[in-house]
Amino acid sequence: MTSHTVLGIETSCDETAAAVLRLEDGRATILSEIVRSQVEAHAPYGGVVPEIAARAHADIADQIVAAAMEESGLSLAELDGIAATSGPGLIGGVMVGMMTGKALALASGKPFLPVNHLEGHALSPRLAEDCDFPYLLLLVSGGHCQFIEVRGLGEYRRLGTTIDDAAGEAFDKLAKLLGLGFPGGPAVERTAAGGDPKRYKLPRPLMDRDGLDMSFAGLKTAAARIIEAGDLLEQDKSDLCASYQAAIADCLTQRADRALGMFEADGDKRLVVAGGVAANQVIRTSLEEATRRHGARLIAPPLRHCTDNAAMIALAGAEHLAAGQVDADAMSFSARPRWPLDEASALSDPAYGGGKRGAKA
Amino acid sequence: MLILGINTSGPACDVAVVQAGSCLSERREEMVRGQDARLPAIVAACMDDAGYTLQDIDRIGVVTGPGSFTGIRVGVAFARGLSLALKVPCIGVTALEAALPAGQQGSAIVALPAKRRPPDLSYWVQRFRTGAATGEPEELGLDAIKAELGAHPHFVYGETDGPLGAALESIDIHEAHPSARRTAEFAYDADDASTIARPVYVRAPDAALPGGRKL
Repeated sequence: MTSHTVLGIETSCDETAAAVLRLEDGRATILSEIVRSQVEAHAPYGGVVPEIAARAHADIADQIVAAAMEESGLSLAELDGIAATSGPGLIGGVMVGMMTGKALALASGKPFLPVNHLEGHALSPRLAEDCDFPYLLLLVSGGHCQFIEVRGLGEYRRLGTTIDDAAGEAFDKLAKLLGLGFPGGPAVERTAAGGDPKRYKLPRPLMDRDGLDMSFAGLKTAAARIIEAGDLLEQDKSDLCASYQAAIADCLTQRADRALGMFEADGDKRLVVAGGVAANQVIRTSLEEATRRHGARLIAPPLRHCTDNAAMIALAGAEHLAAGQVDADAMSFSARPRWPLDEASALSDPAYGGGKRGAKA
Repeated sequence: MLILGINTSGPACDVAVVQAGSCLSERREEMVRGQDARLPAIVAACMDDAGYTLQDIDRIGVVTGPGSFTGIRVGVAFARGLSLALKVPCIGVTALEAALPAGQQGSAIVALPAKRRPPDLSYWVQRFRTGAATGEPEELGLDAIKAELGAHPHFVYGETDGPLGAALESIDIHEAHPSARRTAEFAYDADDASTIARPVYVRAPDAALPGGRKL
């Protein structure tokens, strides 16, 4: 029996999180998990402010790690490795978590495991159940929106991605325009309850095109025009939110439909949806219908493992340890603001992002 | 007492190991970015040079700023991680403290460049009496420093060949820069080892409220 116990650290956006996880013969057990959200600090700004996030991480990252170690009942000496999100994400925060992890690794003589945050999401269904490879992943959050074929550990193929904003970003922007508060997703979903999803005609870009790429920037502009055009009453706001949510659900579902049609799997065909937007019930129901049409199964990890968390980072680290994939030069790893999961596709055919920071996906 | 000093507040990775007032090892690599990649190896090499392991360390001193926000966080997060693992105090030392030479008597002021692009010229400033800070670091414009020094002459430490040197014709500036060695020495002298190092930014975070307002 092989067993690997790993500390995971996550600081790439607005959650400071640490977890200790044990991976025994492919089965994960979470020994401890601590999360501190910064939502209140960012709420007045209607979005995550990078410098505020970085400062908040720097204030508490070591204490969150100490609390997770304490709750696990283990000492550093009893760990097999220390994993930390080392990209992609808001670089100031990523550096805090990564440096905390490197220091713990250097002082304890344990291997340091720099983890790609997106790989954490890709493996997150394996936290709760035996979710064998391959499966389809729809990662849909405030920072990412992409379809990925997860063929094995370290084997990820980008099938499609947003070419501009992420779906979660689109929710945040509408919430900001309507003054609904932050985070925008839950606020828009609440306001949409009782609204008419057919009231406003909103664009569904790229739907007529082949492939699985998506676009959400035009949606925000269309909503902004409606809001500028006149004072919206409460019912109008509800209708707008419902119509907006329906447009996003349609785009995601139509692509999911197509992805499931393209995806070949022996036996159990699964679509995993991860990221904060997976919490939206309208989107989830719509994706469930699509998977049913293909005789497939929709797997949505529980919300705390759908959104940013450290258990998935510990799991990714433990899986790499178990596979013997340990980079001897990990201590010299440079934090990466951009780090596509399918690096080959992102380099040869960047869907968006560019400049010296490189392709985002 | 064996002390590890870390200074990543400027464009360098600067590490020293100090014991009872003497510096056992010191390494400094200039770099504009990439401190997150280099710092662990430099700390390990500095420990080797000193002939000790991290487990022998009694205290850590780290520069908390002001300076590069990212640099400060790289150093402080790393130092606090070491402190958690080694169960030793992690003492914050400002960049201005880390620049003040040992044994300074009387009243002194340390001024390090903050904004360097004319006409925006400002300095990080902290005042000292007999080697101990009398206040927190702050950011002052060139004219404000000139006015203060005209009224209350101090020993002035900082960059000699910059705009401050040119503006203060009648006052000598003594060349001084933050160093990991002085950071460790300051940490050694610190009476309060219970307060953990926290970044000192001086400036509020750059963030605009919806509508362009600021908090």
